[in-house]
Amino acid sequence: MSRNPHHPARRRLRSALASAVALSAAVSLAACSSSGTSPSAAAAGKVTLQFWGSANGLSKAVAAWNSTHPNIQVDFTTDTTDAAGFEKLAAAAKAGNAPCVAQFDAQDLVTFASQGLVQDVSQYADQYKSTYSSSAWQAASPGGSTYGIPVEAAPNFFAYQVNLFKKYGLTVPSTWTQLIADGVKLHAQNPNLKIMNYAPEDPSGFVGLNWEAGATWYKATSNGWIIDFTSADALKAANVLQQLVSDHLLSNVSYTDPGIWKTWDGGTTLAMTTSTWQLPVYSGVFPNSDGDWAITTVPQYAAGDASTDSNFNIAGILKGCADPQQATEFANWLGSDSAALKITTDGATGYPGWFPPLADVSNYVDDVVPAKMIPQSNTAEIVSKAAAEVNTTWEYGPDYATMYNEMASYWPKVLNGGMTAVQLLQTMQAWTLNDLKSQGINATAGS
Amino acid sequence: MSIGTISAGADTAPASPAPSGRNPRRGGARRSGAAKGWLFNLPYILGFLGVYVAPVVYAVWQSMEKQMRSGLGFGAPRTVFAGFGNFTTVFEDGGFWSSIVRVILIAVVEIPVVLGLALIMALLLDVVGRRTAKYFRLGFLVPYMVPGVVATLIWLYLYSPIASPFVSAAKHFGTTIDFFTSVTTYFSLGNVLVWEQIGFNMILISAALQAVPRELFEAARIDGAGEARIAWSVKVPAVRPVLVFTGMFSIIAMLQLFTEPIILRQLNPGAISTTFTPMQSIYTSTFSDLNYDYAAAMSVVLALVTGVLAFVFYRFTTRRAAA
Repeated sequence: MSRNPHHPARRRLRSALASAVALSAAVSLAACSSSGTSPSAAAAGKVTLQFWGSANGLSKAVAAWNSTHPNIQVDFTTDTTDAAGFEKLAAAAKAGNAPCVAQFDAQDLVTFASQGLVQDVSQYADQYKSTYSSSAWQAASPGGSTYGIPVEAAPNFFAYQVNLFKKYGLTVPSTWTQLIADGVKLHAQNPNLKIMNYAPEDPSGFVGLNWEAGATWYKATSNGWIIDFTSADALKAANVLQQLVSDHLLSNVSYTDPGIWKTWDGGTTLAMTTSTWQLPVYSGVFPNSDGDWAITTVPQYAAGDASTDSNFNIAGILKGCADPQQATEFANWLGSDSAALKITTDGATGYPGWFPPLADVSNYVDDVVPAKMIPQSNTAEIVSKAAAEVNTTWEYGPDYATMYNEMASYWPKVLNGGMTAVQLLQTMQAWTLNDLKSQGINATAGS
Repeated sequence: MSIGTISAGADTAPASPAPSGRNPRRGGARRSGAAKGWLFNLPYILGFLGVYVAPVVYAVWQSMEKQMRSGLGFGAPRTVFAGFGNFTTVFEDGGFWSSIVRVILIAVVEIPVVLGLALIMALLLDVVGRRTAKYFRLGFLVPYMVPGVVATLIWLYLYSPIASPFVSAAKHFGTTIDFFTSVTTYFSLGNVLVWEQIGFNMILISAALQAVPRELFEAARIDGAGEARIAWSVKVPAVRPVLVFTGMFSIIAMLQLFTEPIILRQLNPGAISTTFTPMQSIYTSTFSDLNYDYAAAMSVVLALVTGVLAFVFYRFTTRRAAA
């Protein structure tokens, strides 16, 4: 259940942090609260919107909004972004009890959109488009229709342990070729030492490799989807993964294993791709290596390229919301207003790794990287660069969640060498074409 | 999921009213007695129809539907009649069938172990003093009384690579234990199931043993049988119907295996996938993929497979008993 598989990168740490007890509570399916969309009180000129979200600081931000917007009152409910939260929201929306606005991951947005559980609010949202980074806006607009407003971005960069890199004579990798060379050098010194960790339940690292390569598994056209898991760019990603696996350069510790932090903190795995929201988590669980970390841009496929991937949080407008215009206005305030961002990005009131999905992030990059863990002077520059370089080719398709589950079922096999990365892509190509067609969706193979 | 509860609700048929010479209209009394009987049964019948029959009918209905989309596939889907389309997909779904084979293989090992141990324990309890038996019986039943989720959480900590006392003890002796390799995963899971189920099965067998007339043992003793011989030749045949019964419930419970793997999955999602058991496949399809129609079709197929296996087991075991 754990997203149960569509457990994307951002969920993995959260589920790792959740205790077994909390997760077992999720198993008990305590879903279906009865709080729903309030009926429109447009006649009175005053509306009340239900809003479900999980991030720290949202309740304070909502209080700030309510004090300045007497005619659009927001009623906030704390939710979770893990599998249980997704299930709860989906069940509520299906039953017609959904809140007006909910915060969820961009991968979940396509699932909700394919069920008709979110509203197309393009007519209210288009005016805000230029405020946001184009990759973030695209994540909120699968297939070209906007279903919500991006409220958080998590662009990926590369983090490594400086002293260990020095100790083993490694070069900070600017390309994947260099990273693999580093991994091989490390492995030659001690086969237990690994360059990175790919968890056996979580193919999100491979998604990131594809995204960064400029591949897109799904591409929306006016004639339907072009499905292309085996494009030249995707094969570049497969090649990198295959070398990492075949040369035994990866550790494979699960994010649900409470011992995962020791993988890095104990000095056996030296580096990771990571992003803004994860760093505050790491800074609390790396007692030994605290202060020994540095960040740089993710390794590139060719020297001089500038590309990375990112997760996004969306404030989506759900089906049945009677006041989509007001809801969109509120979501935009949450994603871009400096008063809101001051609350949500500040570690004291919100979540220190909450990073805005804006076109201009200059006001929010200074404190996003925990200085104690990463005492380097140019972190703001690297984070800004990552945010600006998120590849805009990537798109999520309507059956992405199911596809991701299917891919995750093969993932342990790929990591232990029982299936090649290319075979994985070929399998998913056939699976996805078949799945979309069986639902009556136009889909053609891209290559 | 522990071994199923035995429904006691079905046999609450009304006792016929005592014959009375003072009442000339006995037929009427019987009718009103029947009405009272139905009235007593009404809550059960309503519950049975509402939370059992209706969802089953709806699931069968839903299993023959399908969500069709158009264009890029965003927006509310249309529900169309799919006939047996979902079932065709289920039959081609290798992951689903291998999950069924997986739980059957677990059952083939686990059920004989549970029933064998429960039988031995019940036989031992039968020969010790009544007071002693009472304490042991209660003690053995404790794991069954612990809810499945809690029981699995207890074992989750015992299996955890970080928190487990076994792992740290092994480390002390210079070895390592991995509870979730491709082989040990099955033992780790099976161990939890045995631990949970043994007490309940023991109680049933023990109760059946107490119903055996003591004269039989005495007769056997006079014929020169020792305690072991009595156990094997007199007691075991006497509790055979209970073994068949608990065996059948164990098969059903095993095909519906869910709680234990989904919780243990937290320790090693690579070893226990989201489609490890058929119920997990159904759960994933429902709550993660939101594909209710397909989940309904898988549920119907699982129910049929379970029914067939339970029937075959029952026929096989009762025919052998008759022979």
